[in-house]
Amino acid sequence: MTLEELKNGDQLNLYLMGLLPEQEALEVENLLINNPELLIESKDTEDALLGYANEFRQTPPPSLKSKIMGEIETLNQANIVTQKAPIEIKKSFNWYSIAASVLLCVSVGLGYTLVQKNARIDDLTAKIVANDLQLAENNSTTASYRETLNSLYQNDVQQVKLKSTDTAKNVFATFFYNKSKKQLLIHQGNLEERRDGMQYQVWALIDGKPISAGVFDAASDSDSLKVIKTDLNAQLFAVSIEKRGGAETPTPERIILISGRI
Amino acid sequence: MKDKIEITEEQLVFALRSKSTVAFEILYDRYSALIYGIINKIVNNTEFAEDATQETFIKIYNNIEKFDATKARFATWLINIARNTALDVIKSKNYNHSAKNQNVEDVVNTVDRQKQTQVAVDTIDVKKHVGLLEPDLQLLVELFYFKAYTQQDIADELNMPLGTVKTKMRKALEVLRKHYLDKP
Repeated sequence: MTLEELKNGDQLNLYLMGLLPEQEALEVENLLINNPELLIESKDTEDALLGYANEFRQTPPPSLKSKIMGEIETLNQANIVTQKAPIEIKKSFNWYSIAASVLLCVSVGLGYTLVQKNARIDDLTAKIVANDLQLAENNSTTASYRETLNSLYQNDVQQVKLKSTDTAKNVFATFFYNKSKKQLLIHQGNLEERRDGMQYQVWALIDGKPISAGVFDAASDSDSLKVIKTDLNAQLFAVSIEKRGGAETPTPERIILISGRI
Repeated sequence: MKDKIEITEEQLVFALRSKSTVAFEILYDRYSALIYGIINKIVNNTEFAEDATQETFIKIYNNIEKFDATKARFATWLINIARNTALDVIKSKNYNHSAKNQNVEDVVNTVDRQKQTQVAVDTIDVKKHVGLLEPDLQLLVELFYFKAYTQQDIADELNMPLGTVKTKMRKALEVLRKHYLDKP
């Protein structure tokens, strides 16, 4: 298909009406991408035809709504029965924390032995234990930050900016998505701390369906990154505000952030 | 009334993908008049229009994952499903059988439905919106938009040269763009 054929023929209109076979539709899309003027014109035509279609709005009989909603309920019930087991979201293990805990146990054990052997050096032992504890905590924190930073600097980490929907104006958050590790690092942006029994829930769109990727809390004035480790291969992300623990499906009016396609 | 819930189209689509019943109720409240109106315009029969509207919503339920916001507006996608469903209805045996059993006043339309072509012209209410488009342009747009006629189909149907159809179609779309978007 040439540009001239597209301009003078039916294909553009048929494309707008979803009537072209897949291959021809792809050809039209390629031509539109390379011809911004024609792309704008086709969008204008689409909008004009939508305006025209709206002239024919007609309220259906009231009984139709309950009939259709009944069908939807039936389909949902059938889906629940045949639904696969939900994808398990692996919890994040911080190996450095575990190492630090082990180190702490060893230190405490060592301190205890020293106390038993020589009461005169009780004070010194206590200081050693305290120092070990502090050192372990520092190491753990540093290692955790290093791990986070390393995660951010990976080649395949993608920054995903989430923008507020119209119902939640002026909020934002940023995700860092590591596709190979299937790991999501969440910077809470300007999300407020919730004190109303609600939590932020992350949704990942997988094969066109929103799957819960976990919940998180926002702390006031926090710049730390929250980590959600997930097996999901997301196409886009959204955040909704749900009751603590999360919901099975996103509540439409509580979706506050949505990303673009990843 | 779920339509009182103010959510964006983006939020709605996202929730529809999770098969949320609430989201489908919002969808119905928002778009049923558009969908039913388009379908009734094509089938010109309230009973068939109701059935086709129901079928359209089931198709939306089953195919919502396929909607791609980068390719079309959501309303366009919905209309395309509604149109295809309605066009399948007017090709069905039941529809044509029902048309055969209509009263004498509708005999002409019945015969036309069996032909599957003239019906398009007959079921289009060209009296509506004459202020917006000249009747000949309106007929062209409606054959194309509601009945999915190609320009060649229209030329054959109306015994009009293809070049004339193309010129008139271009003019009609210009009028619509001007009217709805204030763009030539």
